[in-house]
Amino acid sequence: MVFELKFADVGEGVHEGEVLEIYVKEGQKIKIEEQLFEIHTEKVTTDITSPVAGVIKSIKVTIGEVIHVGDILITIDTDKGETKGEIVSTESKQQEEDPSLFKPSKPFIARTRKTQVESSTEVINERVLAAPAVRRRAREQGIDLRQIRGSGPAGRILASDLSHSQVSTSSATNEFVFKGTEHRIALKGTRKTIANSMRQSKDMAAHYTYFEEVDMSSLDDLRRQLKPLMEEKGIKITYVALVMKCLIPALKKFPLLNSSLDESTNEIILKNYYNIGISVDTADGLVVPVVKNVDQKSIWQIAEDIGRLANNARTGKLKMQDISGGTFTITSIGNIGGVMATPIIKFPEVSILGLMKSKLRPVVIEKYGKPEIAIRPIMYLSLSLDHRIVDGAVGARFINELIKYMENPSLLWIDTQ
Amino acid sequence: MRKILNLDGSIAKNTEEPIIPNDELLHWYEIMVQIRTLDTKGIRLQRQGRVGFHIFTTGQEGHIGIAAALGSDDWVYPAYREHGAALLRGLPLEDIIHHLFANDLDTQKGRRLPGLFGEKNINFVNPSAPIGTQIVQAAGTAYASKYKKDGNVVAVFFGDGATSSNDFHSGMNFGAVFKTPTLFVCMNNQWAISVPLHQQTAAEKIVDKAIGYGIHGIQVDGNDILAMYQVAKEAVERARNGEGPTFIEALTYRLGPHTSSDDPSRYREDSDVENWKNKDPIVRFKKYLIKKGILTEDQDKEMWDHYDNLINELIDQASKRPLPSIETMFDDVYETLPWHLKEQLEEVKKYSNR
Amino acid sequence: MVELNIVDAIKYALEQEMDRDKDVIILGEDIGKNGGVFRATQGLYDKFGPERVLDTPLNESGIIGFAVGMSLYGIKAVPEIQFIDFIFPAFDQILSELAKFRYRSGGQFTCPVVIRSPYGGGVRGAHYHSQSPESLFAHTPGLKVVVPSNPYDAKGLLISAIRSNDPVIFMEPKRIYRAFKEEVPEDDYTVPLESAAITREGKDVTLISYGAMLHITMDAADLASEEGIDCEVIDLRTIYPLDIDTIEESVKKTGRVISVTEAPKTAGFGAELSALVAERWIEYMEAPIIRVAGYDVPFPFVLEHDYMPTPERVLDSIRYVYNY
Repeated sequence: MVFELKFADVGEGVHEGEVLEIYVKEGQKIKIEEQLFEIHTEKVTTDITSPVAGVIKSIKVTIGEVIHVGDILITIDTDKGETKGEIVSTESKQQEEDPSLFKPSKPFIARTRKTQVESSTEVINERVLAAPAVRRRAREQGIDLRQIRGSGPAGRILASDLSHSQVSTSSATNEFVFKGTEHRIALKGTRKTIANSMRQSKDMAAHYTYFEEVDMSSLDDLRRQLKPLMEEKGIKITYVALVMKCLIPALKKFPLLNSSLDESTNEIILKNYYNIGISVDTADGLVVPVVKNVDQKSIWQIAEDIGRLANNARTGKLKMQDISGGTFTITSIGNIGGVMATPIIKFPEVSILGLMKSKLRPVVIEKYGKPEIAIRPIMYLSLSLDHRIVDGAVGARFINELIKYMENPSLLWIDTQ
Repeated sequence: MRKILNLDGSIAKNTEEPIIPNDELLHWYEIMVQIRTLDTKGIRLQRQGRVGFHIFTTGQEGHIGIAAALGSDDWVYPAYREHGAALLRGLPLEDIIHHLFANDLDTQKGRRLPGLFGEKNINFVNPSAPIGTQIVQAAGTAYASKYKKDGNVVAVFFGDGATSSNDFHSGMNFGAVFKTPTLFVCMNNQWAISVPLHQQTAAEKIVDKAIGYGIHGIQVDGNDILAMYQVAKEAVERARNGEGPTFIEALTYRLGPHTSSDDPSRYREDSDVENWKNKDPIVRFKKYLIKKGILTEDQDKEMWDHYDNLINELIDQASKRPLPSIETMFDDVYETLPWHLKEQLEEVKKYSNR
Repeated sequence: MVELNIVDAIKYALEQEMDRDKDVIILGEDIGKNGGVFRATQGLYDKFGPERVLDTPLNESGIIGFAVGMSLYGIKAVPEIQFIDFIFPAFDQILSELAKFRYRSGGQFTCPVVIRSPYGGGVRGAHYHSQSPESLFAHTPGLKVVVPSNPYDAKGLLISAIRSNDPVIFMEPKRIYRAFKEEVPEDDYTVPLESAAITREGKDVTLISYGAMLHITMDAADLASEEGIDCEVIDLRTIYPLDIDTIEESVKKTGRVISVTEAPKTAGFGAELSALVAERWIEYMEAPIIRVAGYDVPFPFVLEHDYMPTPERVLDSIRYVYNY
């Protein structure tokens, strides 16, 4: 039997990919799970291994080729060398006299046994996934479904995809040449994924945003102290890494902020693991890689993870596991500017913490029991929460707790285990 | 066992010869000749591939005696070897020939295996092929007649094999319980295809089964048309008098194969067949008619020749008729054609060459 | 108008038809003096006598064969099979005789018998008092298969069936024989065969059912509406030959179809509905065509409510096709 391996949606709405590497040759004998390809997609780069053992019959793709979900990548002969798959010729066999009235015009065996498919290197036609009603609409609107990338499961084309369909296949985002007074860019790839997930979050979560300010003096001091060590280790520690560390005791005290809502069972899932996503601005748009098990990591490890993930995000080398499994997200909006923001929760998480740019600001402090004006590095926090799960009071107490550690980081080794 | 005619055509001792007009007796004989001729023609046609199938009545022509005891408003449920009853009740001979060819004049619209026919206008019910189903239906029809106080009786024919079927039991029991005016006529021809009687039942006589149902039973020489007529006449009278059903076991023999698809030499001895050929109901009845001076040898030969020619002629005509139209495939499933059958008719028309 | 439950509506239909036409005869086990084990023929023996209300021997093949014979003679026989689970001994009479007489005789002999029989689960009856074998009959050309879901239809459909010149399998949902009452005209009226009813209008999903399952389906539609999903419900009433026009209109409107039946899923009537919709209107389908049905096991006893479709099971399928 010949097994056809098709390119599947490798996760979270991947529609196409590029073949980076082919590890096997035609005619090669392979074991089950043997590595076949490295594929680069809009979001992740992944290895593809073989689900079957056998002999490579034909490789349908080349390095550098852009492939779509559903494309056949490779065909594998799963029983090469055995005779059971071979077609036995019946022509020469003596037909036994059949006393029944019914005489088939041809021997049944020749018609009921599947004839061997001609081996060919031709690419089999692309399988477009779409519900029949969507196909009908496309036909009525004169749209060629093969030109459309589906946003549904396994790349299935949804009715909504048709309305967005346009001829442009350019993936350009910030460099384009106007042709006429309007230029249309197809919403696809990462952009499409972002659009869908943001829409879903806004549709599902009951957003509200809580603003607070935090005095960054202590964390600034800490960073300054760490600087020589950073240089020695070659690891850059950002505010994000420090805030992450401060988040853990606050999240442990207010576990609702590290939860999600399972709507199928109407249960809130409190998570005793702390995987914190960081939003990274890339050329293609926003990507959110996740630092896993932050509560079990040192600041060095956290900083190292952040550096690696951000770099991979910008170079498109994130793996599937790098972008999944988040429980809480930090977005560093302030790197560019702005005073306040209302970040959108990374659904189905329930909280997202926006860090604005730390700036020296005049603040009123108490000194010797008297108010006085001081200049302090102040960062505004914009905490968006899903009110279905987290009430305002809980959010306020949480942020107080977070600020306590951010303004007094030494408590981290006093309060925490 | 009731028997009137000896093998030589004389009246058996201590029996009463039924009083039947001569022309009627001759008519019975004429029908015997017709159906025997049909058998010789039918099997040839089948072997030539001109008709699909043939069912034999040879050896069982005695059933005409049962049919003769019925009135025209009475009902007959044939098994499928009772062509003589149909002809006696007025079915035109050419209708049987058209039916054999399943042509456009076949009143069964080409839907039945040749030999499996019925006619509403002679109250001759269309037979089934699953064995025995008609037995209980006949009881139901008889009940309907009784309920309507029409005075009509129902004769149902079936073979010895059918006495093993579910609906033999159903029919006998329902007929007995509701005291229906039914003649349950078992044409015991000794063979259910290849299975002999002793393998069909361990009862000494099939007629004994009637006792268990509380039905009056009688055994009769099935190759003796006069005895058949006489027991049927008595049973019809009992039925019309409200005395309920009668079970008649008619001892006979299937001289031919079960059908054109059967080869009896595989399972029975030629000597057995030869033995029964001596009891041929036609031969015996002919001897009786000659003895009575109703028929001469010359007239007899003339009659056989006449029907040989007539049937050849009818075959020639019937074989030139077209098959029924494609529309008939969808008629009569329901009183009116539902949407899906209309659609399917339109579809098959596209593929049909006719 | 009178307030009747289904079993009383059936009794009224029988009584009125027997009043109207003296050639209507009913027969079956325990239907006479006892009035039927479900009391569907209560009082008819006293009113019409033993000649028209026949307590028969215990033999289903006999009951149907006897009825076939009666009807060939012009009697409108309406046999009852006590539970449809007991109908199988009569299959030869139903499939080989009842269904084929008109056809095999070239239209000469007809036997328009109406076989009444309670069917279906949910009554703690286990395998031999719970089955729903409608698809076996719907697979038999020559038969009509009717399944009412409410007292009004039960009376009107039974009268139509009795007046029909074709044989009818009239399956009575015993689970809801006495579940509720509704106003039923005392007068003579008919509900046409081969005509479905829209029991709930909606635009999002078409739910097709009949008999006792119709009520499960309606409950599911209510649950779905709480989630903002607007279901249309079709009560087939006659499942064979069925009312294709009503289905077509609904399916083209919603593009989503779920059938709800209680018989085992494989080769059940839902499969026929799925196939019809797929063959004819696939291009209107926004989502897979779903069968919610009994599981492919002999009908269980204590676990029967897990076996049969529930509103929640139907609701899950509604969500699936709606969000597809």
